[in-house]
Amino acid sequence: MLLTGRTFDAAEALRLGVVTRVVPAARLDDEARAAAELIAARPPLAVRAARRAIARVRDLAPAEALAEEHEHVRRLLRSRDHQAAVAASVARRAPVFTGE
Amino acid sequence: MGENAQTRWWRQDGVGYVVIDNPPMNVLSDVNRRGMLEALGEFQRDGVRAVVLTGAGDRAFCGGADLKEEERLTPETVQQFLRRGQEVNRTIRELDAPVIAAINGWTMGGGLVLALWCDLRVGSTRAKLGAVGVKVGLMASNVQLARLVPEARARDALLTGRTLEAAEALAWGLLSAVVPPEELLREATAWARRIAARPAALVAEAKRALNRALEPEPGA
Repeated sequence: MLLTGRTFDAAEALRLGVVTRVVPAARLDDEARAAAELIAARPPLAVRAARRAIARVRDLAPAEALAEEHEHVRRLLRSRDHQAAVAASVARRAPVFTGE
Repeated sequence: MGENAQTRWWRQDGVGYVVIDNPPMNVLSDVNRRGMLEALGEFQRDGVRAVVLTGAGDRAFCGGADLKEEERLTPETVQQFLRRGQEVNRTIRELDAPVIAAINGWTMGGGLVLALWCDLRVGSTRAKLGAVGVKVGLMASNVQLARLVPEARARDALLTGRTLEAAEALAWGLLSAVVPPEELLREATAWARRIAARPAALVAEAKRALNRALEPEPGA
């Protein structure tokens, strides 16, 4: 791709994993907003930690990456948002996340 | 052959079978972790050629950690909680025989971690995979997923926590095959027998070489 500079269409991009979903053009804005809202509804600390961990995975030896993942988990287990998620799940209601 | 309250295992024609049996969602517990470790230890001693790991029933492969168990964790017990999970994953990875996950339903959080540590995965059309850690403010399977699939897919799954149906998991390469539910065990057994038919020492050496290539020693 880099060497030929050729065009690849939506179907090929999907097959290669460059994009993860393809929708009709008229639905694009709505679908993109829905995806953004889905992530925005997640606990912010966990989203931030996941992004940081993904960015580091390829720079670290697997054992180191796993150790870092466990470090994140230990911190997240103590977070208010995680506790709110557990309480909400036990009470079968929607959790409210504060980013703490 | 053996069993405990939440795990059953047996051998047939050189293939070892382990079933996580903790209805309704087959969540992880000390009991089934111990069962899996005992089964895998027995298979290793007996020279089993390939292993099939699956969940009981048609609803879930493994629903991951038990939130109620996890709610009781203290800073002192967290370490042990993480280590116990890791012990099963490491045992799967270090077993001479390849381990095939037969994904019969929901596979979430720590259940996805377990499935991703297996050597390969085949699924039924009812397979549903979710990196759901983010939904409850946690993290699980980041490292495994980010190494197994292209980064855009890893980010999609890990940041949204959305469910990947069998067809999408197949397209992503997370499942090697998808079959109707009633054929899943037969399909997994066929993969296991294919592996069991190869020279055991070569298969074990190939697995070790793959482990080394993918997971160099820290700092290497």
